[in-house]
Amino acid sequence: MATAKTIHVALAGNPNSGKTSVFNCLAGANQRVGNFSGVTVEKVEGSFQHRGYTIRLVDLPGTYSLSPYSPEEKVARDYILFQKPDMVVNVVDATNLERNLVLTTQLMDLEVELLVVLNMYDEVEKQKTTIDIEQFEHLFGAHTIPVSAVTKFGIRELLDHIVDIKSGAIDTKKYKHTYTDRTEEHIRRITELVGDRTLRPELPDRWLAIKLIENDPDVISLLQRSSGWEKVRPAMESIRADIQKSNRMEPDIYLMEERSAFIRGALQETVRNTEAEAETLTEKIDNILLHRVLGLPLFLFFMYLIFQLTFRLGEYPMHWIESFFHMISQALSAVIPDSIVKSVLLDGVIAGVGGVLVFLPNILILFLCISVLEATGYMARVAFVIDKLMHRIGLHGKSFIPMITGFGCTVPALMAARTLRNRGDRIATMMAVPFFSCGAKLPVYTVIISAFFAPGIAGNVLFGIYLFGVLIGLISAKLMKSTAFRDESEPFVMELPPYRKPSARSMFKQTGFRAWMYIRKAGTVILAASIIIWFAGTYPKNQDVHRRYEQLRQEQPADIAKLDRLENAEQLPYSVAGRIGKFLEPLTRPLGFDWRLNIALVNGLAAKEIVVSTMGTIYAIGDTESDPSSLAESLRNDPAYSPATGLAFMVFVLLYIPCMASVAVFSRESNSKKWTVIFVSYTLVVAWIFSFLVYQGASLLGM
Amino acid sequence: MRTEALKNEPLPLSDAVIGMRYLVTVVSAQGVIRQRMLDMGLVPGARLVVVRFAPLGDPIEIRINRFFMSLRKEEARQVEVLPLGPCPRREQATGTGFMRRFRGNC
Repeated sequence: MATAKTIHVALAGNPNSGKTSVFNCLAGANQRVGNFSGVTVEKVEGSFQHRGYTIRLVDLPGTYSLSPYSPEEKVARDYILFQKPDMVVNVVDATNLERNLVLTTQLMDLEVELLVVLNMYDEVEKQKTTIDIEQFEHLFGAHTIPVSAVTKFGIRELLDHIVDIKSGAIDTKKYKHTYTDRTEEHIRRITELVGDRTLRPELPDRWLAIKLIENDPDVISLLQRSSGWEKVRPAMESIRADIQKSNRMEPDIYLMEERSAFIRGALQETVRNTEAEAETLTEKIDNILLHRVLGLPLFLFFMYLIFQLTFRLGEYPMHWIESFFHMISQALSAVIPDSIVKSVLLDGVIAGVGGVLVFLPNILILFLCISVLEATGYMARVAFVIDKLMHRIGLHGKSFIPMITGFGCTVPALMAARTLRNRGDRIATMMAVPFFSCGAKLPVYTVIISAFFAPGIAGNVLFGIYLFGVLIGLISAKLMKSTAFRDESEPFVMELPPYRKPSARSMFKQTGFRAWMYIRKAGTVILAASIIIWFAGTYPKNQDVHRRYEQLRQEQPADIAKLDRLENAEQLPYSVAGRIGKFLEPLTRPLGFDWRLNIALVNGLAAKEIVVSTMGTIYAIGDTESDPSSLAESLRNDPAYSPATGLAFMVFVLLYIPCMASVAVFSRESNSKKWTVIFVSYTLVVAWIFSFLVYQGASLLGM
Repeated sequence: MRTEALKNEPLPLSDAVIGMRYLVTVVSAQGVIRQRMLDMGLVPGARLVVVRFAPLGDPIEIRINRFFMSLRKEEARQVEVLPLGPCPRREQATGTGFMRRFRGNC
């Protein structure tokens, strides 16, 4: 039988228990990364051979327990319950047993085939601590082996034991009961009721009984629908009342206390520490990094560093990518004869691919930085230091990074929201991110400000625009958190894990995975959108205009470049984009925008970089150089515009949809069509309202 | 230890003092927060040390055995603790006077 030779192993453990390192040791390079179905929780799977067996290893998300409160915990618990792996390997941080063994006791409740791995055993030995493994196995009733993923100690034995347990070469021990006699009696009573098979026969009875005593909402809603429920419920309620009365504690707390007491007792019998506990390196580092006075400046310095690395360092490869695509398009331009195909290829496809890849350096650097923060353990400190401010707008401290990254580029910023585990926090943060004015919007402000405002106040106007964006962003987050996500908040109760040296390999792997996800999912959408927008800006053409210019081109062959520019400008109103611009005029007149500004805004949907260049195309009439100063001059001299128009235009650019790429990424990261639609319409509506208020207000003030 | 504890009144963890040890007596939080606290070992009977407050005054960092965790004051308000006296001095690494100033209190 082929299946008998396959061992399905699930790897469970606390975050920071070194579970991923153990996984990497075992599975090596044979990994597949994906998401658990239905949730954006990353799923890593590996498959490999050992002594004639195929071992299929699934890395469950790191969790502190198997309660149903976070997506990670739900995924881990459902996987064990419903996918029924042959065995659960529980990776435990041996330097922090009391904490880690809580999950172990919960896995014992599930009555699965359990193999406990005492990871970081080298550090235990360094601390002059000894663990009596035999006694430990006896007390926990689970097969136990010490390993160290860092030094590779015990990895081979672990593989042997997995095979031996499956083949029956090792007798696995029966579980010891972790609770007091009285509680075990309660559990037995319910187990008997649950065990009559009218409820959920595929689930372990003992586990169901324990969860019923704990009043686990998921288990109750599972059982409520079955016919045996009415028999079980009274027993459950009387036992809960009994525990409550005799211990003056709610049953779930009481069971947890019993588990802790069991763990404490077991550890007293098995762990010997001969050396006084010294201040750890982590404590020394935190004494500086979380220092009352130095903590905040150091934090701001790190954030500044990440921002600069991402966008300043990222600028170089971005230029290379841009010039690379420029080169390709020039080379192709020389080869392919003039035709529509050439136009589509050069201005649509190649520009589109370039537009996708140009974000890649930013994304790679930012995610490498975030991986470093997460792998070293500083990410938890980021949240710790800035949480007080973020909490005021209802968000988690970790929202800070996506938000400041938004000043550089919205696309990586939205992706950075992944570090928020709670969906409500994540989407609320993502709704705020686009209002943190991204780098591509700056040229628009520069042109408009130099057109309508005196150099003396230019700086203040620019600062005001940025500040206004931040304000709207924070208000938006607060709004989301107090309406749609009122009850979805990540509790701040959080581990400050020991600092660790990050593994370069796993960081690059993770970064590469995220970058690939961006290219695959967002890339295709961005490419398609760029082509559509290019078509909309180019077609249809007015044949009369075209014929007139053809004639002019023949008459004045020396001025072809200038004539092309003039024709483009004159053709624009006939194109789909131009028609849309005109069509939208009634809607934008209260904001002071005419159809020409509308075209710039419509094209700006592709990317904000295009706003200024579109305006350049529009005003190319009678203007050979479309450099910013002359564009500013054209705008200033245009009787249709006033400083009020300029202000309203900047506000609109600041607030409306950042770009197609951001919409694609938002859709991917939120995993929700509904929220993507809200994202698009919310930014549009907010932009309209504030531009309207600004235009009308400024006009009243005589601007 | 018991008599020492009884001398003191229970107080919410949010009012605890840096460098002091406490015994957890009641966890009155509900829902996700309560579950997370229990999962992290913040159960009645656990002993903890208050390590520090964040630079802006909130959240709090506490230590349970070798496990460091943080929680907001608003969450800490839902945990009742009994003072057990100052944390016994842990072995301090040697450092210069400058470094000593950066040290936490326990």
